Amino acid sequence: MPETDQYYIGRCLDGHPDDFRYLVRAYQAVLLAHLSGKLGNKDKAEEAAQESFVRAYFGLDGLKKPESFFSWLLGIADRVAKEHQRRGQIRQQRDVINSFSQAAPQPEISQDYALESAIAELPEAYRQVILLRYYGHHSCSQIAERLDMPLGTVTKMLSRAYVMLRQSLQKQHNESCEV
Amino acid sequence: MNCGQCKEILTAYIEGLLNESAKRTVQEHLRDCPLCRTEFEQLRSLCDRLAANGKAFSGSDLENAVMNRIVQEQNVRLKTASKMGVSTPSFWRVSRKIRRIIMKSRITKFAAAAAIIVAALLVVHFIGNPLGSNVTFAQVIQPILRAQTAVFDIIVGNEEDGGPVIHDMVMASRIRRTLSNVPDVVSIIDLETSRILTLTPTKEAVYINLKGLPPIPNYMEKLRNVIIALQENPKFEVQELGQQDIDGQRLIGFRAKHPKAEITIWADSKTALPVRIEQNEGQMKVICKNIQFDVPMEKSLFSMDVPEGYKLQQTELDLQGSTEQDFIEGLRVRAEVLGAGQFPDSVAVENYIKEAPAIGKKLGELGLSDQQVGELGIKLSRHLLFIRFFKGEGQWHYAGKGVKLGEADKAIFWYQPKDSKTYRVIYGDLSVKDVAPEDLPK
Repeated sequence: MPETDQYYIGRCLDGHPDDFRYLVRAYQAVLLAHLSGKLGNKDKAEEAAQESFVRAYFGLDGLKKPESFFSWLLGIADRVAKEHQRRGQIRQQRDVINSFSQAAPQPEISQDYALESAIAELPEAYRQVILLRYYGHHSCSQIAERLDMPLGTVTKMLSRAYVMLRQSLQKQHNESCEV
Repeated sequence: MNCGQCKEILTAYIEGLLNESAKRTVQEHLRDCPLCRTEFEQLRSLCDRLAANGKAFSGSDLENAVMNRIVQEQNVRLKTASKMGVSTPSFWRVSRKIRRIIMKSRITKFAAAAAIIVAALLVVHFIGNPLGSNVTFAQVIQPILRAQTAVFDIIVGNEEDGGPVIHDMVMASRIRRTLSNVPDVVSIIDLETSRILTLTPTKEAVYINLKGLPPIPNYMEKLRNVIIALQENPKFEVQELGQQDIDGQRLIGFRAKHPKAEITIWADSKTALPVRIEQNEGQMKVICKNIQFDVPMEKSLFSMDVPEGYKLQQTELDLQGSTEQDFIEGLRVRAEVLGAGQFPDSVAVENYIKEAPAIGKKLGELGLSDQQVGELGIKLSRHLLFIRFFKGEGQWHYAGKGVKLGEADKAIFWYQPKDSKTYRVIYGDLSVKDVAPEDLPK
């Protein structure tokens, strides 16, 4: 059975810092997806994800509620992303990528920037659920357990998140058509 | 079911969370309502898009990069802390905290180089061999049986070849060891916990946890057990070698023989204290000289604690069952990475000890990543251990000198595995064949 975040945080603080790698393993995909959406570029996202993990590591003993490691980590990533971000540039980049993806039917870049940036714009609670479901590969009941909410709430939040994502994707599409 | 109700549970439906009857109701509504059907299809396609994107991220690997950055940051913080040079209680609290979060298993170039040297250190656990029961001989071995501490030098191979000297100080299960060709590096080996602490003049400390090392109880204990066991065995023959002057000392010699091994002990002719022991173990010759027993030594010399101000790294060396494949992999590394395409002149242990510092240096210069250097270091260690703990019958033969990697027609190494009628022959392209004794290379 996989250990909980609390367990690994405890281990790190207890003289086994190398166990931090399990937390990296668990959240790297989620964090990368989250940051790709915010930064619009895979390399920048990787850089920011690494930095977020490093900051999290050195902040571990200040983390009051180890059970909320994930949302805490996302908060750190948000701050890192903000520092990395220059809005204008990102916007420009996104537009460039959008125009690319319309000209070329199957862009070589594996990521779906439009989708990732739509996720990045979701309110935090919804973003968490989407990230855990699709990038952390959690089932709905696992999410319910981890975020301590009823299963029905998880599916409701997913539904609501889908609506917002679709609106956001539609908006992006319209904007790129105007260009 | 109306459209509003349907929409509300569509996500649960896609997730497969509905019971049979609810599922059927949704299916029926979707069949009858084109609007909801479109909604469902759009939702489905968004979910697929999310899942596909999620998959694209699942192969990401930030682990090592993150752990390496943490170590770097750690070192910067440690340096800053030591530069502050303060020694107030609050400083020690902070530094303890920092110490606590120093990384464990990152293999750095330095640790890898240390691992290579350590592999050389490991090969010479001086373990006694067949001895007989002879009154005079028994006198000679008494000090070995009683000694609490010992100091001696070890030479692997022939003394006249001028190979490096290993200097050992022994106290219970700990050995403090230095190598004459890397004189500034000190290693403390704790046989009890299978751990080695290596300290360098640049204030770096490396803990190496050894996995898969054959259990070595207590150094002196082991020697005693062997001697006692052998004394009780009637088959051993002890030959008196008479008196001889060695290194300006008048010594008396005894040779104990056994079909597979031989040990010669030279003792001071006046005090009967052994000062030199020569052993053959398989094809490895080990000379132990300048032996002194019960030398008073500071216990702190054998401490496994990291001295204040040292940068600590930890790594692990798995020596579990070194196989022929490990040996071959090591040959490949020695030819391809270290030998510019050519196999080494010798695969004997003494040759490796002699080359260890150069190998460590060379690996450091190749511009490889820390991880790669670490992996090569471990490969080389396992390669060496195959020869060190050679498990085959009789002798191994090496003929790789001057042979280039890829020369498939040249046999470079052969040996007879235990209980096998045929020999294993390794060729220059590192292929292996089973060969009958009569077809062996001459």
